[in-house]
Amino acid sequence: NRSYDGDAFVTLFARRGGKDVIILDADGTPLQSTCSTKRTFLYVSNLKPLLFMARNVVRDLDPSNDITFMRIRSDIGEIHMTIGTEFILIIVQRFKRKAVTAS
Amino acid sequence: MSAEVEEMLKRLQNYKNIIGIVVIDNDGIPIKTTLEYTTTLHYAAVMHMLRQKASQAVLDLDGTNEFTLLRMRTLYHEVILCTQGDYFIVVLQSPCD
Repeated sequence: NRSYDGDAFVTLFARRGGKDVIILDADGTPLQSTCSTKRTFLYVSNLKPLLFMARNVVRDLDPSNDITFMRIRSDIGEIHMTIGTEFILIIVQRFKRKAVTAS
Repeated sequence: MSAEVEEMLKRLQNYKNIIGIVVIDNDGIPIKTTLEYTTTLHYAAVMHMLRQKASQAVLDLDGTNEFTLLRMRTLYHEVILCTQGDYFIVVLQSPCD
């Protein structure tokens, strides 16, 4: 039930540098994912506390405010997390390596 | 060097979308800020914790990776947290839309 071979969104997304898509429900339980269960679990167990902590931070600073989107950037890629009312979407992206020229 | 830093902060602050800038060192103490005092302390404490957590999360996911930037979009504004070795900078901006 997890075959994404013909899925246009996933293939176009992978071509653009996207690596993984994980869909969670509002509590943070993984619903669907393009990577293996073990890897999904690794991502979710690291990113879910961070996401909820960031949400608490935002609400602590201003109680009427709420987080909608979070983007983490590192040396080799980016992770985007979108919070909706019913779902949380996590997208992992890898940067394409540029050719390094000797200076 | 300090004059350059001041000039850079002033230049950043003059963008019309920027609400405030806080520069925080690795212990969570704000070094430079454009917000008022109590707000700055609040931001420094909270962003310091968040930065530690994010750094740990990225490191756990991939041991060679290092987190450089964190961007949070909230209902009213956007918070950008950028790491730079000995310190990190938090910028608060209102989005263009």
